[in-house]
Amino acid sequence: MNETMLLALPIALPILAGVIVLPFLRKNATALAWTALLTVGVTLIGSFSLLADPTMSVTIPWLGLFNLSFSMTSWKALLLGFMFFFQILNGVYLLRFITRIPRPYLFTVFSLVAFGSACGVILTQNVLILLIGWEMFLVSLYALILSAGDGTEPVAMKALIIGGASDFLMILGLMLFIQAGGSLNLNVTAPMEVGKSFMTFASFVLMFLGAGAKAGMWPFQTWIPEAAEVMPTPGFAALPASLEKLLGIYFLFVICRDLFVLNATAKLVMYVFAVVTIYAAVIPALVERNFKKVLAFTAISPVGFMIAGMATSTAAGMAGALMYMLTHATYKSAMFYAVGNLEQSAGGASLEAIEGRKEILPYTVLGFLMAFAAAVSLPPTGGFLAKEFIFEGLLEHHNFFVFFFVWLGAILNTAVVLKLVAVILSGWKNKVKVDLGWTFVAPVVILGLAALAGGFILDMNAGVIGEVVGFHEPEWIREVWHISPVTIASVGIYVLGATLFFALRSPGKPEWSTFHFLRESPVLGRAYELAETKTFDAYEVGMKVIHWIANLIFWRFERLIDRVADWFISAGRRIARPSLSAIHTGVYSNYLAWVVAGFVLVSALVLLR
Amino acid sequence: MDYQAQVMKIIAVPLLGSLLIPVLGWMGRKKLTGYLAVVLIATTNILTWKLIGPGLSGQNSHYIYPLFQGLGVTFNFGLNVDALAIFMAFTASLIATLIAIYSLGYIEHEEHEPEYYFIVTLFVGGMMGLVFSTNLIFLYLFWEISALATWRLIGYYREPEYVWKADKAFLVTFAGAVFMLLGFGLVFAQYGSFDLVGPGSLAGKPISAIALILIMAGIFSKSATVPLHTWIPDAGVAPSTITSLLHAAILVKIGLYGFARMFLNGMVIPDRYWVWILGFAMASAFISACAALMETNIKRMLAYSTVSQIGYTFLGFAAVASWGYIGAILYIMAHGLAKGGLFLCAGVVEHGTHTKDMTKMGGLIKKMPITAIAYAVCALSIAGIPPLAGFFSKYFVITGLLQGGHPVIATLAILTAILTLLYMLKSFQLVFLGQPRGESHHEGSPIMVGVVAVLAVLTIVVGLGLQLPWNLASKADQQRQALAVQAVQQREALAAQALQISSQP
Repeated sequence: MNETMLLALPIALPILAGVIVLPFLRKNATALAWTALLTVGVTLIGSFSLLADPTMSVTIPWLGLFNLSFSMTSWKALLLGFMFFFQILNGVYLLRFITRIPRPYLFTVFSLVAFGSACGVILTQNVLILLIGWEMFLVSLYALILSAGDGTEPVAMKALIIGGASDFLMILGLMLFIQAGGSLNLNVTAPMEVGKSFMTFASFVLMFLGAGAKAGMWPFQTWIPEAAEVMPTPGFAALPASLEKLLGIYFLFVICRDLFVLNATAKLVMYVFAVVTIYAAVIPALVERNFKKVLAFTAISPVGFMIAGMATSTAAGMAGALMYMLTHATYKSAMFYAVGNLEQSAGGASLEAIEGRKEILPYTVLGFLMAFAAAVSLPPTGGFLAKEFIFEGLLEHHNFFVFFFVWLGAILNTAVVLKLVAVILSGWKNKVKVDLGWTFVAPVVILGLAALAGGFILDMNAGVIGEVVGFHEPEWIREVWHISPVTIASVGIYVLGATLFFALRSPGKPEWSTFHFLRESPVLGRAYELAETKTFDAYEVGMKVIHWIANLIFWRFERLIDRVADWFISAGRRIARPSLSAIHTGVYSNYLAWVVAGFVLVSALVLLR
Repeated sequence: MDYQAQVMKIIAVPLLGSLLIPVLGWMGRKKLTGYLAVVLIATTNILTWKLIGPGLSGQNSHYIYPLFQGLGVTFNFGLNVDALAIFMAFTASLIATLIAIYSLGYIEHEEHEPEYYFIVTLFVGGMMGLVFSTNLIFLYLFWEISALATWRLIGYYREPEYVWKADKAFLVTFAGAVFMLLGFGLVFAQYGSFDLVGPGSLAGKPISAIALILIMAGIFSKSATVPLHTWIPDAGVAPSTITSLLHAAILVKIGLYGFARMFLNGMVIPDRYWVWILGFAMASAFISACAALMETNIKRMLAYSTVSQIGYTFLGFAAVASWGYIGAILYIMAHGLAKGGLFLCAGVVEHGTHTKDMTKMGGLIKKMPITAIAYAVCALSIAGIPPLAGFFSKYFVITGLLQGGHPVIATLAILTAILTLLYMLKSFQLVFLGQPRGESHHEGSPIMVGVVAVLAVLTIVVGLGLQLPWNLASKADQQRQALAVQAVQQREALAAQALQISSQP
């Protein structure tokens, strides 16, 4: 195979298999799942030489304006490797889970389309193609939500509208970027100073919002917990929890490294969004009673950490954000598969149901606990390395204020995840120790192990990550093991997070009720009430505003035009009808006279010119 | 190479061929009238294929036939074969062919079949005549053929309410056309010619504000631009094939084409007026998008969507920048295919459910899967989701706005695109998803479903294979630019001449 075919393979093969092969198997759910897994496996085998040769690139001129350029680098190979790893485990999980999905055909087709699109996003060197891949990914997400059956339409629409609207903002940002002298082709464009002009600043903000929305940044995050509740577990684990975040942060990285040089204002904008994102997720997570939604909230708050790392523009901050991106995708997938198993065992996903279930599912719980270690950033997980580097980046620029808020957010996050562990382990001794079949357990355990060993995996790839963020020293990643103020901050997270949880849980009461007293607290309680009525949901607020404007324009303006037009036409008909009836006699000579009069009129016009 | 015979055939086949349809009807062969119409319109489309090659190579020919000479006036019939005309003729006849095929399944149970097919074919003939005409009076004549055809087709079901709506459409477009004719008169009074190309023509000549306003009244009324748009949602009372024809293939596109032909490849609008046209186009796009969001009648919602998207296309033209112009031309095709598909899908749905109220539909994807998928593809294209054809066109239009120095309009255009996504998605969900809210339904006839599927596939194919339409549109842009340069040179020469005369003692 030549370079073009090799680079096209991971994009085209899954999409073509999804669109062409799966329709023949639509009646057989198990065959669909096996074919999906087989397709990813074959794609991986076919892509071995691509992954092994990080120098491949291909450029095809298109429309004389763009280059359809795709390339492979070591960094991209690492990302693709991760994606294949997730997708194969997702495929394994799906083998038996598929029968529980109301629309298995829709699910498998769009899983493959989403995977192919994600590969396209990673491989392309052209921002427009990246956007196209992203939109296909978005449409796939819509279909995957719908695959969960009737009643999912509002959530699917919310996801698509939020994603679509933010993409339109990003497109506008991209156009402004090009107008300001940038290029669509990432391999030719030079980073532009954000502060160069208002246009470059606007371009940066719009693109940042677009990429942030993909990652699940506030205020675009509200569909995620709702999707977590309704989506099939493998769908949510594969897309919103991992792949989508990975792509969003990846593009944010492209923006911060390849497209722009951040100034103080741009960084401030990013920090504000980062901090608000952390708290907009972690505060509702404290009192949420649905396990999947809690996990979804804890999938949003890390986006704030990653954005904060990116905003530092330092090698340490960027490296931390990228490591967090990979680590988070790993541990959050493990947690979601685990909760999928727990849900099957408990017959529901509420914290009460899971706490009160009869079985302990030892391997599932083991996988969850390993993922938990990464989620609270215990050494030697990737989460530990990632948070250390983000903190270092923040301190390097003396961003103590932001550092404090991020650190506090991490403490709350630890407390929330501890509560989940307590719920799972509650009544350990009294429960039957059984587990589900290997297809359900293997992904949880393997991903849990990967999360636990994340630090070593990242260490093995330190050269690749260092190269993209600008660390030139070969041992840069090992610097983290020295005792420093950051180490104290990290220890503080574990200690204070655990203290907070254990201090606020009530002995004798179920674990799930921990922090629930906050609902009765004077300020937070009211805030929770308002949040439940979606008062803070940007989508709901936006929709109300749009409908108000549309209603106003439609009834007060557009209908008024119609009434005026109707009045004129009626009046015209009333006036014209008698006179037209008078001249419209049906007598030939009459019409002839009209023709002659018309001829005279035209002749007069010509002669009088 | 000489293409006049080819162009004559393109105009004559539907125009004269349409006259055979009533003859077949009188002979009692009503069923054959549909097939004859399909053959005539498809032949028209096939005849345009031969012009694509020359269009792609940038050839531009015009043929003038003097009809009257004397009193210092020359009155000609002229044909112009350039990339813009070829693109338009091909697109309109292609979509019209598919609509005619769909009609075979849709109209077969209706009365007055021969009349329907006669007027549809005549409509296509009028469009072809208009597309290739270079003389403003002939352009007007073909314009009015379409107005008459519209009137008859909207009132096809003959109920008094429908006839009133047909009258409304006719009166608004006719009134606009009369104003336009007056504008042509003023232009003639100023320059002594009705010709858009050729020696002594109007090409490159700036026109007065009054003439511009009058002509724009005609264009806006025909293309259903706010505030002259309200006839088009009312036209939804016609059969879906008709609304599809009006929205996707011919009628509203006439206004757009007329604008491009007269003002971007002919006369010159003084720079200060462009901003007004942009303002009207943007207001039209936004207001009608709001209206589409509020509508629950599927055909009225789609009609408002057309008004909005036509506004988008005007934006592209009025940006007076290469990207905008190319985007607008491509959007004529992209919108035509997708909106044609949407209206025909609405036809299938209406046939099956006997209602146009979207709130009374739901869950139809289970009974009408192909129609649902076709609707989704076409809706996503109109909403500007890549890699469908609508995305690229909108992308180029908005880039054109930025290129033309209109960032505020570009931002508003993006916001309107978000509204478009919203109402398209809302309609899809109301009609096809959720729980069924009516009696048991069934998919349309194979011919109807086949056509909507073809339109959806073409929407995807044009998006993925944009190179060919892009090449044709970029040739049209090169020809526009060449004319613009010529216009500037003409104005400079005239100014120099005037200076020379005034400096003489």
